[in-house]
Amino acid sequence: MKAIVFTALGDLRRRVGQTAALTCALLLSSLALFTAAALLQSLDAPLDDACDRLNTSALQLFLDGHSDDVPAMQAWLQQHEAVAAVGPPIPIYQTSSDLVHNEEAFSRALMLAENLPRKGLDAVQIVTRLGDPTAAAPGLDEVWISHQLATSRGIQLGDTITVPREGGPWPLRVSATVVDPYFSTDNISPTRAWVAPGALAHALPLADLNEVFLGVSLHQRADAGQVRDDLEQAFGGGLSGFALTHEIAKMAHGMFFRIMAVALGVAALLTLLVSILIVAGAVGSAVFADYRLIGTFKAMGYTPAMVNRIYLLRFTIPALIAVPLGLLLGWLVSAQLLALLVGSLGVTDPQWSPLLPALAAGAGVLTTVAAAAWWSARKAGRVEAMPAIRFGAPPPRAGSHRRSVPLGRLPLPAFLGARGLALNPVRAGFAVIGMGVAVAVLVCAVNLTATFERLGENRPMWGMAASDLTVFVGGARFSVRSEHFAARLRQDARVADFVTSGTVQGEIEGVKGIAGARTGGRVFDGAPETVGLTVLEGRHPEGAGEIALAINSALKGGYALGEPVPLFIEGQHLKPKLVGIYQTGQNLGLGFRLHAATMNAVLPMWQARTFEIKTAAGVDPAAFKDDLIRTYGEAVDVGLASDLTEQLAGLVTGIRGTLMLLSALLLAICLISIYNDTLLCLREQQQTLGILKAAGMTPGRLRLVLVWRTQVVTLVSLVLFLPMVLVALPLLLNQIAAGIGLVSFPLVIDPLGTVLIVPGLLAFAFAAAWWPARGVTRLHPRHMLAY
Amino acid sequence: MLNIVCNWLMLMSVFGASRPDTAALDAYLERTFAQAAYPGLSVVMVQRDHILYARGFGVATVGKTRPMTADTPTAIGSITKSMTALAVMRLVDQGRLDLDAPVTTYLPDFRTADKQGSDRITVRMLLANSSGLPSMDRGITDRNQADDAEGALIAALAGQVLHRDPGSGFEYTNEGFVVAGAVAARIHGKPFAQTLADLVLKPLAMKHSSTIPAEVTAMGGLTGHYAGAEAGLPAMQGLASVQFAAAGSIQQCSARDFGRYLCALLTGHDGAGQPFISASAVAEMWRGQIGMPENERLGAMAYGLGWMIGEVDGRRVVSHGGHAMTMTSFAMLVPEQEIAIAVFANIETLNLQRFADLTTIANNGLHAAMGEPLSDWGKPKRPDPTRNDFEFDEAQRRRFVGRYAARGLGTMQVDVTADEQGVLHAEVVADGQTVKAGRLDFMNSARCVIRGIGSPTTMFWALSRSGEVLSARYNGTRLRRVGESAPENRPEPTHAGRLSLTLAANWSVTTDENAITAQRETNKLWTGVVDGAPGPRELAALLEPRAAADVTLTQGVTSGVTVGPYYWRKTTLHLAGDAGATQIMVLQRAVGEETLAWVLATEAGTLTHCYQAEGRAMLTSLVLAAR
Repeated sequence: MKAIVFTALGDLRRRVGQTAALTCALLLSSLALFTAAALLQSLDAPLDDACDRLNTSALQLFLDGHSDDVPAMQAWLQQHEAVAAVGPPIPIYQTSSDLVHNEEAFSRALMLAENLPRKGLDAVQIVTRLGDPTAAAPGLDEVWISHQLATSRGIQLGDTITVPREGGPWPLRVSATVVDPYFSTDNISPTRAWVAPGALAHALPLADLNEVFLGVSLHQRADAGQVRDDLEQAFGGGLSGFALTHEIAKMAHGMFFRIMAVALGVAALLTLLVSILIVAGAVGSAVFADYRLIGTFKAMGYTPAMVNRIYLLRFTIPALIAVPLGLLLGWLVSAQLLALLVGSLGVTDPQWSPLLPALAAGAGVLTTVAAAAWWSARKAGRVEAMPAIRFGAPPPRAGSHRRSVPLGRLPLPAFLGARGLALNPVRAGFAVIGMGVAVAVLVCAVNLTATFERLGENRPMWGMAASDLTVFVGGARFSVRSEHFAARLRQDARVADFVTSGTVQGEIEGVKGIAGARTGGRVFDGAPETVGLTVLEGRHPEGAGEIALAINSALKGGYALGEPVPLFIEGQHLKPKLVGIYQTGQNLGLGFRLHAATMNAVLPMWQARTFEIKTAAGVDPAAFKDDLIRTYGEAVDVGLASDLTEQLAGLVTGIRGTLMLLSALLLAICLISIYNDTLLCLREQQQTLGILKAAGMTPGRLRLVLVWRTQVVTLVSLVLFLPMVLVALPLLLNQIAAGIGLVSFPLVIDPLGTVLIVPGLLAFAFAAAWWPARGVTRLHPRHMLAY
Repeated sequence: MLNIVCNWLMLMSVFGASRPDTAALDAYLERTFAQAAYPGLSVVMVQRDHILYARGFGVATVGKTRPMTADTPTAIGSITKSMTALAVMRLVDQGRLDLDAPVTTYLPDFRTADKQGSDRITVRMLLANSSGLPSMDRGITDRNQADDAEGALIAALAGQVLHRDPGSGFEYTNEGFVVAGAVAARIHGKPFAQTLADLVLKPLAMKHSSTIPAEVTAMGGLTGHYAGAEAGLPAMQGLASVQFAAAGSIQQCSARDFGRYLCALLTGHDGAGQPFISASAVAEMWRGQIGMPENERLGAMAYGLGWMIGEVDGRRVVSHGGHAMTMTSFAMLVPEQEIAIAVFANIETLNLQRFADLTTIANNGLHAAMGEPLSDWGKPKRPDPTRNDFEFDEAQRRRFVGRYAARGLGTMQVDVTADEQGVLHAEVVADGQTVKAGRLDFMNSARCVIRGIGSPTTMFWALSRSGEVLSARYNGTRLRRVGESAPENRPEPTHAGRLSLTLAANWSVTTDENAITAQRETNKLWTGVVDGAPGPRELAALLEPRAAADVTLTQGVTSGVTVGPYYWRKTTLHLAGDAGATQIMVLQRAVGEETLAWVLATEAGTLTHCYQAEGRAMLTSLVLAAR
């Protein structure tokens, strides 16, 4: 055994560069796997933990005390078998106008809640604060805001948020940022903020003191929706306010991070795959290079297992160094990432346990490396002593027929590079797969970024109209009638086309909406195709008695084309025929579309008041908007498509950042892989390279031989993987996004970006191989020939 | 020589213009009034500097005998805007105000939340409804006499965000005119009411006009009517005493006084023949400053300065309407003919499909007087969209019968009854006042209108899938179905003199002649009547003597609220001292020379909770009997 260890250590000393490369690759693999495991482990945990820690009620009711009988509801809830406890009514006030921060208006709705004792329910955790650290509540003109709001709006402690109210603005000084689990995301509006007990009565008109918050703790969080439905039923229809359940909060909070975590998990697995390929390639290369030595060992009496153990040890030792280092780095990176991920929860210390990710990542990498090394080194055990000592290389495969590859026209370095690959096809294959992973990630990164960047332009794919302007005709005192406005638009040369629509609420039998029995629908007075809206199956409703369902409504209700859909709308029972199924990324893929004729049948005076307008070529939508406001004033509310793009800027930046991070990780692995592969190749072919050097080939051209090898690998990867990923990516995304209603994910292929991957990756591979290929300059022909 | 001939021709054209036939006008008005459901109308018609016709029709109040006359002060609502504009233009004439100067030139404190935007608002934009200021309308109906009303509203604007870039589009806002009124008041150096009186009302000898509640009451100002099923429903309290935001919409004025005002606009001179307003100033007011949304009934219009400008039946018309909850008004001038008319009604807007609107009456009044054919301007151009052939079966119809009541500060309730033919009727009572009555006409199972003499008002119904009627919604207020039997355990009210108050459970109570004092644990309540008009701190001291002492006291902003039939001013105090912190909510309202107050004191931090849990119910139960 000692001999085996010494042999392995000696080998390690001899091949420092390769060992270093392998160590780096394994380090990165461990890092990525640990990070992915840590993130996946901790994705849901922060919200759940925060809710557990702060005893956040699973059902939160926000009621209008002027409309709902809150004490009666409280008493009813206390009797419900699923309810563990009901908190006291907490006075709240929801802002209805834009707020002001640092002289700038921002359209964020705040729910100001008095920080009264809540029987231990719905506590908040202070993240940062000013003033008395023991104060249990804000001062009279102070507010505690969610850490997420502070972060996303750049609100600092001591800043003032001004709330419009009768009698003048109400300036509130931010004296703390807090964790308020359900409201720690931009996806839930309004955002809750806490004010001093009694502050609402002190500052607001009496008419604004009507709303209360009721926290309902349940034995099982999953029962929240049912309890809410029961309450609605018991108290005569819909509640006056709204309800928030743990599930909805979780969905809203984790929406973006879930995608991020899955992407990181995939990236981690890919890095591990690349590591396996590196190990397998390195072992194969080592066996090839050590062929005569292995024969000598065998002649000395080493059993195949002993020989195998040399390589196992030889590659496990770097792993034993790399994995702890990788785990340590992974711990540091994960801590940062988790801090970033849970930053929305205002948690500075994510409170996560690295044990499980460390065990999973460490064991996973070590086992995988060991298995890969063992598996790849089996051929060393099979080496026969005499032929190995005699020939120093594996015998030509009996009966093997080398396929003739037309490489003759290639430049000499390219020819030699390609020939080098052919000498070790297994490792070449591994290299191609490794590089293919990078290709896959880059293709995903480029096209997903394009998809989200162009979401504003490709709205129909997400279930939204592809109009340049959206105009709602209304007005508090002076209004314009829809048909008049439509007639004007028809005569306006600036308008290419338009369609009108309106929203309605209805109950579809067997389908529950997000917040109750009702589902939101849209009624079109015209052809939705006008603004690019499509259906997955069938067609749009074209008249009375027809309906199209959003995909998840159709799936939940079990409705197929041609079937009647029981719809309760405007107090009437309808059974329109299902003529189309469409997809939408809104409302979790729930909803329906009707033709105006259906609505007019139940309410003759119904009119569509939203105009989706496509402007003619060359017309500036912003100038058109200004003109509409000038002409119609308060009678119109005009939105630009570009407004949506601006609203999505934050989301796009986040997604782009995540994808860039993943790409950088994969490219780092690739860099190491290429470095290692080049070093291996250099060692394997040092004899050939020595001959070539002796024959007068310049060091530069010799380096090109190695670089060309990488270029060929990269090119083959691109040829194989790029089309494959372009085909597979939409299918994968369709599966992933089906849950939110996007069964046909609206992927936008960025042709230029995708094409640019080719020269970009080739350039990257060139650079990555050129540096380690400098080793050829140190080769001495005489030494090489003598070896 | 040529100039002399031209001037002579112009004079001939003016004096040669036909004199309106007031008999024809009178006949038209008699006929129209008889066919409509207005309790009372007052009409004035002028030509140049003469009031040709001024008359009242009907009664001032349904069920009473007082006639409606040309001298009856009536709330003219938004026509007040033109008076505010005129006051401002007089200051422009005097060289004391520049229409295109930023408002901040005159009111340095004026601002909205987006200061950069509000700094660009000019006085002209305020008068043209193009300032971009949001139309809040909250606080405009503060029925207390508030000397600082304009200041309070301007302060409130500081927290609001502009709806659009100043000058970019039309949005009708009372607030803009309040600010313009404040500008005029600042330059004139007196409160707005006095400024308007000095600059407009007094020079024109408008003796039956005022924005000051006490004066309006003394003049016999009306309270108006709500629209009932077949007749007007007398309003217990109109906007007679409203002062807040007077520059936008709260002027009371008689028809004859308004005739004097119209004459001044047409001639530029006051009643004494003295120059009053320059022709250029009037031209600026009557020049379209910004386009308005085209109105189906009234056609294309532009907004000038306090006036709407449009072409009606082939002639250029300057007009404005007004709506003061229970009273309506419309004024119309034809500058090229130098004639004008104004029609004031003592009832809210009637059903346009059934009755002639004030716009139509005014326009056709002019046509009748000028011997021209009548026109349908102002009449609806399409059938009533709320009518269809939907019908319930008898059983389903019966399900709606019952009482529906709102919770909260208001005491709105809707009683739905069925007559012998099974036709459903509704009566809407808000704060003890019937504000709507009529037949229920369903458009579908979940939506109906109340048809009476007024504009059809939509009611929405929440139904279960089985057709059970769960709740109703009227004017945005949710109304729950009330059970058949009254609650048995309802506590008896406590009486003290004229006061009656129903206390929540477990409150101990003491009473004296004019007050009720109650207490439960650390919560204390005092309600009663005191002499004079004490401030909130003095009233708080009735319950918590520390409020009058030298303690650290923080006072919240004062705001208004209608609770049942009463309009209150609410102020909250926060006392801090050695004896602990206390919060006190003080509600007060003037009752003649006295003040009715409602004071709730709690341990600091629990005021909102105490108010929501028990205070609100006790407040809404408060009744002060008349002497």
